[in-house]
Amino acid sequence: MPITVEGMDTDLVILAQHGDKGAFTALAAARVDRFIAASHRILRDLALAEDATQQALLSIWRDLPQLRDPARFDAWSYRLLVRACYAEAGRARRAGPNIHLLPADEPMATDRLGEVVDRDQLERGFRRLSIDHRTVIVLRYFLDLPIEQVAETLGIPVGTAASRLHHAIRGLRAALDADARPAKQAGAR
Amino acid sequence: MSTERDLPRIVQAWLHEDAHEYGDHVLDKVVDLLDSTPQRSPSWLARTFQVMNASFVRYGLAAAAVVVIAIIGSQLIGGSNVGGPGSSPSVAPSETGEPSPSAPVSAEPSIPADGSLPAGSTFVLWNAPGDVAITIKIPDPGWFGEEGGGMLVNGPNFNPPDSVALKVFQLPLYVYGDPCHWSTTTPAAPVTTAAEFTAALEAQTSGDATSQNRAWGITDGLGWEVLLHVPGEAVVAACDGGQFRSWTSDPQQDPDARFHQGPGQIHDLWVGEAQLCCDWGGAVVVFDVVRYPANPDASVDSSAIANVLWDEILSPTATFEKP
Repeated sequence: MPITVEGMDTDLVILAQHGDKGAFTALAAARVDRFIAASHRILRDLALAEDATQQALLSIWRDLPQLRDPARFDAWSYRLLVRACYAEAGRARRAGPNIHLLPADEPMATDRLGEVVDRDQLERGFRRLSIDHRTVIVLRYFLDLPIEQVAETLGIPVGTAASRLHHAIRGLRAALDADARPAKQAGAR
Repeated sequence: MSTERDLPRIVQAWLHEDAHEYGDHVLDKVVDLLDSTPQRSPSWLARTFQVMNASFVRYGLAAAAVVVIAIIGSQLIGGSNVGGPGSSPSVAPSETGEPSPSAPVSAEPSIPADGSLPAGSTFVLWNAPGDVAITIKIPDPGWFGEEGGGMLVNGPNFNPPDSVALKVFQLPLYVYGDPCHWSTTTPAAPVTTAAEFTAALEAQTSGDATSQNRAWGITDGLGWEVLLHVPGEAVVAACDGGQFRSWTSDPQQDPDARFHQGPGQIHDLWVGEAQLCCDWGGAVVVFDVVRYPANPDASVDSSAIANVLWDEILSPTATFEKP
């Protein structure tokens, strides 16, 4: 099922495609908070998220006339938002420390998640994921998009999106496990 | 108390905590910049698309000369054991006698900004953290890489009839007994060798996999080539969940996390392992060249691309960087 907009929003999209700044502003105002929230969760940095959102909204305005089906505005705009997040992440990576992929296939004790997972652990684990994996998790579990819509937003086949989500969760599980290991070892001494 | 299976739910709840970012100041900046941000013409995309198509025709098989310059394998402690009930699969040991590396993947997947790959760029093809990753040098324009390195495609989208894509998988994999009725034919244990993988595919009911031994490139060893065809849309629609699934990396995970194939596709699988031909850091690797049946107007000979890809992977100029 594609992500679609209906009724008045579609009218606004069409008007904005023809250069109506008021219509575009109305569309953007209805989405900007959610854009920042989603990009904040992908990038884990509010300033980067605001930059990504600003860039995404400007890209949407610039490229809107090329959108063939106004009803697909939301899927298309999420795709531009994700692209902007990748760009911001790339800039941040060049300016700061690298984010490395985790050894997600490392053997792990399957009962470790039976212990309480707190917010700090999740934050640390999530930050250690690649941006691909953070993105697919945010699309699926924050924006609550079905996997078909995640695939559409990312511009990849459904099977690939599902596989990526699977590996993202597996990577997070590995990160949580790795995070718990030192404490467990310390506790064993 | 949480359990491992609860992780998606836990993540979902955590992501929705404190979700009250406000973007008024961002919106104000955007509105201020609209006047200095001209909109693109609607015809721009169409013109570009035509140029792209012309490019595909022009380059045709030349674009197929994707040069694989390096194989970067990375095996983690204990290998790629995704874990099935009562099973303890492990990848084949490296013939080098070197200890299994425990470092994370040494190369991050490529993330092309718009998916297009300029000539001379490199693209890292991979499937999962810790799996073998292939660094591919792109000699000609016209190739597109999926964000995250999951697939290399000879165009911006993967559509019939001309699209060709390359994916890579790594054993162990759980091969369904019946790809159409996969939900009830999941094996108890995964296959861990090229021979097991090939035999399991050939044994699938409602599948048509056929295999052959082939001499591979720079070595005198043998590998496997497995050819399988996915049925048409009408048949696939009647399969479990409307999907045709030949294998999965982990049947215990999220139901969304299973590989499936599109109606009408042809999968040319090239399976290699250290004992047979070449050392992938001890891994058993499956190269999946996906295409559609040839059509009279096809500008790309997908079968030839498959052969070129494989020849290049094992060409004398290729270097294999052990993890």
